[in-house]
Amino acid sequence: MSLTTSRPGSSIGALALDVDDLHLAYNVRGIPRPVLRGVSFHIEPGEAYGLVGESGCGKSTTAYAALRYMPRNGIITGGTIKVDGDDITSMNRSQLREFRVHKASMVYQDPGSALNPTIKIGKQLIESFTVLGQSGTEAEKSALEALRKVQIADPARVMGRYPHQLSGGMLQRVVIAMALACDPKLLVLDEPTTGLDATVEAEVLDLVRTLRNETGAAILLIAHNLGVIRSMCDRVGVMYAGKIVEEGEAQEVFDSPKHPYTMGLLRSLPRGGMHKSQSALATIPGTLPVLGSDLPTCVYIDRCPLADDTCRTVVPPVVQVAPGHTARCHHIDKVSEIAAVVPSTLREAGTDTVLEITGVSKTFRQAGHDIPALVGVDLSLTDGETLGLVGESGSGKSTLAKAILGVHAPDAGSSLTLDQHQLASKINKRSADDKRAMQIIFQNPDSALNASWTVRNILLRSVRKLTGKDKEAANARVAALADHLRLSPRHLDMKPRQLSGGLKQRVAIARAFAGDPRIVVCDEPTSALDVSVQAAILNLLAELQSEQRTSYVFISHDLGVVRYLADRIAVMYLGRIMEVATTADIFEGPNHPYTEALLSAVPSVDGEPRVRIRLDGEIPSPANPPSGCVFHPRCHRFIEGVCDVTEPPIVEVVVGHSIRCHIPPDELQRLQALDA
Amino acid sequence: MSDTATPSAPNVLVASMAERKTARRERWHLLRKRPGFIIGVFICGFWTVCAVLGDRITPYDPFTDRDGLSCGRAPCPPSSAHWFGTDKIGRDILSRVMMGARDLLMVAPVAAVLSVIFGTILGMVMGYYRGLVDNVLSRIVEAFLALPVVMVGLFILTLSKDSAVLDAISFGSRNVIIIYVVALLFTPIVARTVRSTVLGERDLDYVVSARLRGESSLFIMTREILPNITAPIIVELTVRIGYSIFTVATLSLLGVGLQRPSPDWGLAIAEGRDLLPADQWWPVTFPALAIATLVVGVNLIADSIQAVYER
Amino acid sequence: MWRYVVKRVLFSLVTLWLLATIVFLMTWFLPSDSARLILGAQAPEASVAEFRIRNGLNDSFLTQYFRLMKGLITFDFGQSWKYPQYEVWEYLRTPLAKTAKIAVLALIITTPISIGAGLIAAKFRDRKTDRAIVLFGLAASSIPEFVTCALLMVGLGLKLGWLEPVYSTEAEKLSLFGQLRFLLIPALALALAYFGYIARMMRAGTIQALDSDYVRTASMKGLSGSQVMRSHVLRNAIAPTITVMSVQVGYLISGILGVEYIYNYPGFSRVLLDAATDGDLPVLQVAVLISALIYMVATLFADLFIAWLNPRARLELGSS
Repeated sequence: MSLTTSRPGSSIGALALDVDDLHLAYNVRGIPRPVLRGVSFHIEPGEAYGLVGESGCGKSTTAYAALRYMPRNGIITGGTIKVDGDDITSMNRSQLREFRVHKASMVYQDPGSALNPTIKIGKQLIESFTVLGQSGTEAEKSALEALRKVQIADPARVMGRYPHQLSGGMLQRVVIAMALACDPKLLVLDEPTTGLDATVEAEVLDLVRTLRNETGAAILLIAHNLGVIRSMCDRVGVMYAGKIVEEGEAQEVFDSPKHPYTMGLLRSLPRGGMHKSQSALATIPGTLPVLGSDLPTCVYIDRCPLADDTCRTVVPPVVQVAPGHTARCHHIDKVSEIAAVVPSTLREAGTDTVLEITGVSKTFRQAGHDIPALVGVDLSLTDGETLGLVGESGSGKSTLAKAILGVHAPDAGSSLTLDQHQLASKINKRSADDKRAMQIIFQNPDSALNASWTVRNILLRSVRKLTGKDKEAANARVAALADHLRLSPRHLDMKPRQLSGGLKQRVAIARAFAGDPRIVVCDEPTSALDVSVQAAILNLLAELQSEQRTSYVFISHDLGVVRYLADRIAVMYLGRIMEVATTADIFEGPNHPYTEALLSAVPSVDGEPRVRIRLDGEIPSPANPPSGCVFHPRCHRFIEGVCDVTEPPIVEVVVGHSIRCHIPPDELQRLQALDA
Repeated sequence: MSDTATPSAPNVLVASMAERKTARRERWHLLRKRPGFIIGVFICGFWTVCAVLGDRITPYDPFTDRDGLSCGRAPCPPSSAHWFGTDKIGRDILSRVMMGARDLLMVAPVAAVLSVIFGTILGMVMGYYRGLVDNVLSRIVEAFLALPVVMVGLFILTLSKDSAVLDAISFGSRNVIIIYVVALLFTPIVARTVRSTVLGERDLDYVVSARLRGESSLFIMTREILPNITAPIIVELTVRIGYSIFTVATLSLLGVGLQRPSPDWGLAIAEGRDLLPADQWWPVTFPALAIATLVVGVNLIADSIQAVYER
Repeated sequence: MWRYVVKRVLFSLVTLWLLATIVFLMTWFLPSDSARLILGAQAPEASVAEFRIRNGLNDSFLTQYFRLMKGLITFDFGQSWKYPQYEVWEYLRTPLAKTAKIAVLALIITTPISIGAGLIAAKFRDRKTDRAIVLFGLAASSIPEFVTCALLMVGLGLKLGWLEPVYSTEAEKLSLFGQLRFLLIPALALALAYFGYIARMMRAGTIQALDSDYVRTASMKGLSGSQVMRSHVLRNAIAPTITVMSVQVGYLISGILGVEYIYNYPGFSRVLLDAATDGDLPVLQVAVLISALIYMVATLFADLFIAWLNPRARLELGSS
């Protein structure tokens, strides 16, 4: 290839990205393990293409391959990748560099680590322009302009900052500004909003959408969140075990999936206002084939409900379902037969109050400053009820959970009553019965389970310590627990790291239920899991609750999940409850303006059109909360002279639905109806 | 998550392959494949055999044999009868070098083990309780870290020559005093390492979970956290053995460590140094090479263990 | 940054005070009879008693403790017991300067070479060059300095005759350049040990930086390999090396003692050894404190340098 063909704009009309039969392997101890097995797709200039699939399917590998970036042990074993007409697999080092300078760029999952911690933002951004050949002063001007373009209000100030001084959302804007410096033909975004709050995610996505219209760059978007893909992409490819199993227009693929895997993925999501009382979630049995293992005829065969002898003997062809919509399956006509609803047989929440907390506050002291993390929280919980706790990170959800559990002793004056008796504030002051009554399931089972213990010992110790059973009785109880949670006896003698994420979370749940707790705090229990595993865990939690009348405090940033599982929802902001209501009422409205904003931020896989409410600025530091209503600086319904002066009252809309706002509920309802 | 960034993807493979074996067997397997480890074990094994069997395998009696005087004027240069030559009073250097590992290999590893035990206890307490205890202890540990080990060793060992108390707790053996001193000086270093590892563990959810089921602090430290920090502790131990040999050898060289008539290498080098200007190089060279091989051997093992455990 | 500097210096002062206390406690509890040691076994009981009174050996624990603290603050430690004509500091100054000469020479030799070797090893990682550097570094840092010195004395001194096999006072008549023949062997022995630590740490730091996400970002921008190295890798890679260099100062001091002793170099170690055998406590205490002070100053500068390099480190250290 000659250098001339890699100049920008030389090949008008060429595809932005054309991946053809790409094979890629990782060399592990001298043995190449295939990761991508014949991936083919293309992106038209200016088009947005999404790749979805669960962890380990190869979507990120594909994304990086589009810029020919591989880990040290990665090798392309076949196929071609063309960007804007140029084959990047055959480029030498300097051609590749030229290509990266001018034609393609990338936005990464974790903007915090993607930027150099020791160099100021400005310098790092300027570098993106000097590499294009601009002089120092030119580049500085361009950098300021670029920051303005990504809607950073005070570019000069941001330029002088170090990465650790900016929030995740801001950093991602900076990374986007860097990526767009060269006006690329292809912009690859690898999970650009994972780890960001829904409100920030929505803003970043809005920004990408706007910039895409301005620059006309083609986009390759990798995301595990199907809603994000649907709201952003024209076309989508569904990946499984290193292959694209279905491809088509995003809307069509999500509305009428033709591959059993796509179908399975979509059905395992709680969507469209589904609630546990109506139907259980569908799950995909089995697990992803081990990376690099030999594959059968059809990659999905072991988990497919439609698999038959044909599937076992004949490699499934790529079938054209509709123009531009293809699926790699023998049975595309039968996919819609996979039952849609799994009827639910759950018992409803009871009416006996189990936990009552009033005036719970928690103040941390840090470097001589008081940081109020919780301020006067009142909540109650009945038997068999799930209370969803939502809010942005830093809103105090986890602190509240830990205060209830006694891990962080709440401030004096806080009151917690369990079954009509007062609870000691600190865990080590609580009675054995009280300890037994409250347990927790953590977000990350890797750190929640002691890596050096076997599953059996983890469960045994909890049973013995919590119930005081003797060894024999405890062993029997462990066996029963394992059986109940569908852990096989084989798993009991394994260590956590030998188990998959889903199995680990089952062990954590089993441990929480070891002493028949009254209340279990679930702190983002499924956010580290893939959707198909998430569905199984959510079903399990719902079943256990229905059988044992356990109450849940369920923390999640995923409103879909909360809506499915929770009976009531409390919305938190800066350590305060802003709104609490039954799940139906929360989604019905009227809402607190903050709730309104949260709800509007969620990208839906069903593609429901929504008015987006933008939250200005960032969540303030709890160390010096804003005056009046703590939400007022970001509120879109802010009333000057009122909200910034007086603290809002708690107003009851209907019984059990209260809002902490100056605007009366019927006025809120009117305004919100107007906007919708 | 494993899928999110490409460079981490191979770890998925490694983890899944590890499923077949227990972690320990896997590590052992990896260790055995490292040439550095094999060489290190071979060297240390050789010196251990010499130390254990001692004068039962040396060609001459390392202490009393004066056969070396036969060449006329000792020290005699290397010859077919005395491969490494003889020292200034005619003792066979090869025999003395072989025997010289004994005291060192008794004193240095024991000192290292003691320092790791005490350092682990101290470090766990500091890291687990944090707060005031940690603040005070940390300052003291930091002060100890500033003290050059050999200098303080010298300080204590010379000033403690006729202490009745020390004699009592050391069973009258100077070697035991050396063990105490080296262990004392290394304990703060180990404590600092352990403390920082415990700080990384103590806020993990499995510890919170243990507290929620009402475990005592002692149980959490010893049964929950300790098994998860064995890797850095083992690494620390192997590294400490290396430093311990260094320290004991230097103290012996300076005349305050192991004492005559021990054939200790450090002592031998100190004695042989005066012969250098007369072009008599062998009394220094062979003990020096012996120390060099031993410490390189120990460090090859330490390095391999570190590479495998911190993978 | 200034807030951090002040805080860091204050912490050092606390450590220094603790150190002095530890040293004092050691001398208090160890049973050496300095008077007897210095005056000799034959000295009459009366002069021994007189010595004790003159040097305050009979004073109470607290009096003696405060005397040391006062000395520390006023930097006046009184006279040596063995050589009362000398002030302690005066007595230590000349040998200290001699020791500094070889230490500085060692650092000048080793720093650029080992940093370069570390970078080269990282660049060719897992290849033969890298393996050779790593192995050599491991051997160099694990062999005690005095052993290396002994071998150099035999090799470079006796056998090859390039350098002086043992120090002699002749050197003091020569110019600094002329003295090199007498200084290089101990300096090289120290340099070799340091080489191992620095080169291996530099390699590790560089590899860590090379594998980081921000270097990935930089190379995806299309920066060339050398641009990435210069503006993104070096700055981050050097920090752990600086830390190791400063922490190893403690071992460097220990190493110097052995090296000087075996090379017969009239530096710090000789006074120290004499003071130890004589029980010349003022000299001994101050010698230990000076060594500790050198270590503390080294780590202080290292921390400040790192804080200057990496603003995030400033934050972490400042809050702890």
